[in-house]
Amino acid sequence: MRALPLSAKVALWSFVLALVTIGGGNFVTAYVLKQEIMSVIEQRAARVSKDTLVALAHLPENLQTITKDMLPRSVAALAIEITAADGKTLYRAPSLKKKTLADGPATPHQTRIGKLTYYVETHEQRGLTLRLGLPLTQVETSLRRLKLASLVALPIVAVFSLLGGYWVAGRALKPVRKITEAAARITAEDLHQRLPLPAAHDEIRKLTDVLNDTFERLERSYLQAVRFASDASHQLKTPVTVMRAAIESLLSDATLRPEQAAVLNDVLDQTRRLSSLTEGLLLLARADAGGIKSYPDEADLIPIIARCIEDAEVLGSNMEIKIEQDLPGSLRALAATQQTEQILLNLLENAVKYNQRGGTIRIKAGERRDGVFITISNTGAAIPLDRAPWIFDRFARGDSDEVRAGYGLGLSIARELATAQGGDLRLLRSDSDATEFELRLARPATKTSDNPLIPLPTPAPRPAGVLTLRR
Amino acid sequence: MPCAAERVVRAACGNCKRKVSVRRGEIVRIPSLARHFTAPENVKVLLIEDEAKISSYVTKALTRAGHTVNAITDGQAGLITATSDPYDVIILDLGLPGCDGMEILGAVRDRSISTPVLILTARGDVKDRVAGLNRGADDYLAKPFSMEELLARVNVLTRRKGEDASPLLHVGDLVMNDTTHDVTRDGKTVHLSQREYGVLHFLMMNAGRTVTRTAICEHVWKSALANDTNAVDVYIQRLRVKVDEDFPEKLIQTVRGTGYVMGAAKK
Repeated sequence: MRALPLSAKVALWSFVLALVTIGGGNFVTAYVLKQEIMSVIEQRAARVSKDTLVALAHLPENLQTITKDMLPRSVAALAIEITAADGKTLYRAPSLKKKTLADGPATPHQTRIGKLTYYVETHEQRGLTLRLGLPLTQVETSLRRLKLASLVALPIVAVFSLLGGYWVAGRALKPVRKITEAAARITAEDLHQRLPLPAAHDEIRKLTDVLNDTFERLERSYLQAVRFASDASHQLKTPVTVMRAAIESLLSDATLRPEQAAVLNDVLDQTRRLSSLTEGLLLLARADAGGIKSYPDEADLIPIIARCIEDAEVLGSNMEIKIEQDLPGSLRALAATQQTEQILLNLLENAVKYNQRGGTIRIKAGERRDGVFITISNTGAAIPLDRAPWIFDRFARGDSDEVRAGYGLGLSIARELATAQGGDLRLLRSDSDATEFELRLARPATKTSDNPLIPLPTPAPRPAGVLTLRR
Repeated sequence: MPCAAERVVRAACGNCKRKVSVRRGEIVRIPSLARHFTAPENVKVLLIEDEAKISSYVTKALTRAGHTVNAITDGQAGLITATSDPYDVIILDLGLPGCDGMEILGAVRDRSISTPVLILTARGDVKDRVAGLNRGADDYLAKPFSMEELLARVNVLTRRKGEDASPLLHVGDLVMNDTTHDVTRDGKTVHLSQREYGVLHFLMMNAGRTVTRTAICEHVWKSALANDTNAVDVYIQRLRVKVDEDFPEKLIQTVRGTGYVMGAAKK
């Protein structure tokens, strides 16, 4: 019932309502009809009994039996029964088929003989008891017809109420459907859009007003979030810029001893971390506020992957990590070079960091129907099952017991960067054998010629401020 | 003939107030002196930056590198100066009071002034960067930046504009062609990986200046490398093997506690 569309529900309800109406109407009609017919019968009974009593008054006393001939013809035709004071039946109309009309002391009452129900009035006169029965055939026939009529009407009403209810509900809900479609079109991209106001000042208009108000508020808070990201960016970066410039200025002082310079260098590198953390938070704020702008272009992924593998070798050399690669000669994808490199570096840095001594990192790339993919797997400990669904969340880390370097933003940033390019980043598996991530990117829009004489498009100009990735 | 290095030292001494004499043919390894090796082309720089402290540090660094700097902190004044006086390069902050940096950039380009413009901004978004470059900026540097990066960019911009538009970088007998990505030393080809090339390129662009590991890391990996800067040392080690091992003159020098410097004795 819950899963049904509203119009179907309305149709069902109208059906139930029609049934109740017909049932109730019939009941009332039957009651009124019965009362009406009964009062006619009662009047007739009163008239007939008067005639009969007059006839009885003319009969001689102490009769042992009364025959039909002793009664007037009009009375003899009736279903009557005359009993003496001692209970002996003096006369019984032949239509009663030797059955008594007596049924307790109540008067009037109803009794059934054969197929007929009689309305019985009892009178006493000169020691005689007269019971007069009037058949209720008319009442029964009327009620039977009424029942029949309802039975015929019911399926017709059922069909009409179901279809009618469905139609009426569909008509009434049409503006609601329109609003739903219009509201679905209003996304973060164009929050300034509003729903068209209907002409009639009805409930739909009120709903539209309320929704438009909500969109208004939503747009305001969205713009606020975007402005915050931009303002905070400025506010946070200015002091870091000053700090950096000051440290670099100090470092260029010749009188500095190497030990002092080394300390300053450490501080300098911390400002780099601070600014990349700031950059990362802002990127996520921007992503939350409506997405990061990315300008993916057709690019060969292999040189990018090669650069990152080079770094992984350097980073993994301390831990004797082997790198296995399975790469095609060229792999063209729709990718923002800088952002893709950042994602791959993050995945590879993690693959080194979470690997075991002497472990292996496998990098595989290729093309599939749904796009271009790069998988990076490492032989480190598996991500615990209860953590795996949350590894792309902010500040989530694979191993909570062990404190390792990292701010826990890297993977969520990497995923945002992947989606911004029209791709995807997911954890394929993490078991005792390997932990494997897959970066999927879109294929180039148009298949370009494979002729090597045609120069490949140069990568996009180098972006300046990009952030550090950490897991 | 006066040694080039001596000329450099004199030019910079007014600023650092230090007397140093450099003999012909001597390899100078004092870190503070390393920066004096770069030929001061005496570039006239207009710096429009409202943050007084950033402005003063940038001015100091540019002056030390031998450039002349006019620093302006107000947007309106910056607009007037940028459109009326000739400069070799304009360094422009985007978030200015009184007048937005983009307006200044627009005004400069509308008057067909082709002076290279380097944008400094805290807004590191790709969208803003694209907007700035579309408006006619030549380069874009996101805050916070390293001074080495800034100086290198200024050098590139002024070189690009001047007659010396050659893609060749020279340090001693080491030559790098930034278009073909070929590197030779004493005529012999040096084969470098992409990352090694990136590190060497940054060192050569800053020849004579000490560059910190942090600056190298940021330049080559665009801050995408989270790991500590130890990777830089590994790449420097590899470069030394490829560039310096077979030659008596070592071009890559370590400046203890600070970073590295690339330089050749002038002959």
